[in-house]
Amino acid sequence: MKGENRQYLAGAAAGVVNGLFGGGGGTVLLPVLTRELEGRRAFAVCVAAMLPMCAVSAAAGLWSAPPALWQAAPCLAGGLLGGVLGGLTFGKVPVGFLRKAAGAFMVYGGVRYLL
Amino acid sequence: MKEALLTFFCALAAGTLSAWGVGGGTLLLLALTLLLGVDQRQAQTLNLLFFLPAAGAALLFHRRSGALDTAALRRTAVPGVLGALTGAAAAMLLDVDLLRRPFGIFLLYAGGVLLFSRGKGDSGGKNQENFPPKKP
Repeated sequence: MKGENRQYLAGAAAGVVNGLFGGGGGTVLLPVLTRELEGRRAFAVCVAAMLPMCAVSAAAGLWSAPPALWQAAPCLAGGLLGGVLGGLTFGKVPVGFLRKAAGAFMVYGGVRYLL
Repeated sequence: MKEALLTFFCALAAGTLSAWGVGGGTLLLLALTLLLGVDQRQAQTLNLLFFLPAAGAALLFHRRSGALDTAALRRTAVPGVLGALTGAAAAMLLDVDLLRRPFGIFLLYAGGVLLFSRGKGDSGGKNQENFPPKKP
């Protein structure tokens, strides 16, 4: 498959996963983008593409399952601060070990959801 | 108060990891449901809300460094939004318990990608050494 077609398909798949599960779209999209784009460029496209996907899915979620303000406020504040911290330190922190730890946590989560 | 603080620190850690490309969004969803006991549907909404400021902030830094490929963005974001609308509509129609197993399988896949990939796209990976690309 041509690279451009792969990107269309990966974008659609990431959107469906994100809308259905409330997250995880970036995990679908990033590996496809890194086949054609250099690391940081792939990542920037991934984050930018996930923003509108999350916005429409969040709007649907707010309509069907609105969380309490005391839950939403710390998520928004923590997300903003984390995004700034991560953006400032991007490329300066070796993340190999963190990737493995995050992967192990997801596998643990997967097993918990399956059992 | 304690739960709000725990939620904040989970979101802070997940936001930082998201900006580094380490699957932070999925991690926050898991932390909310498995560690903090938040209802699945509300956790999904919280996770999606969390991503908006986290990704928005991270994106500002990437744009400033000229890393945003707008053609690739159009190719992924437009079908992505259509897919997100479809997925969100399906999620509202389906029983939340029906989605548990598919989500579990997805988590095993996502975890496997992180555990076994060579780290292309890592914020601290080798591929960053040539960024920004040298002019010919």
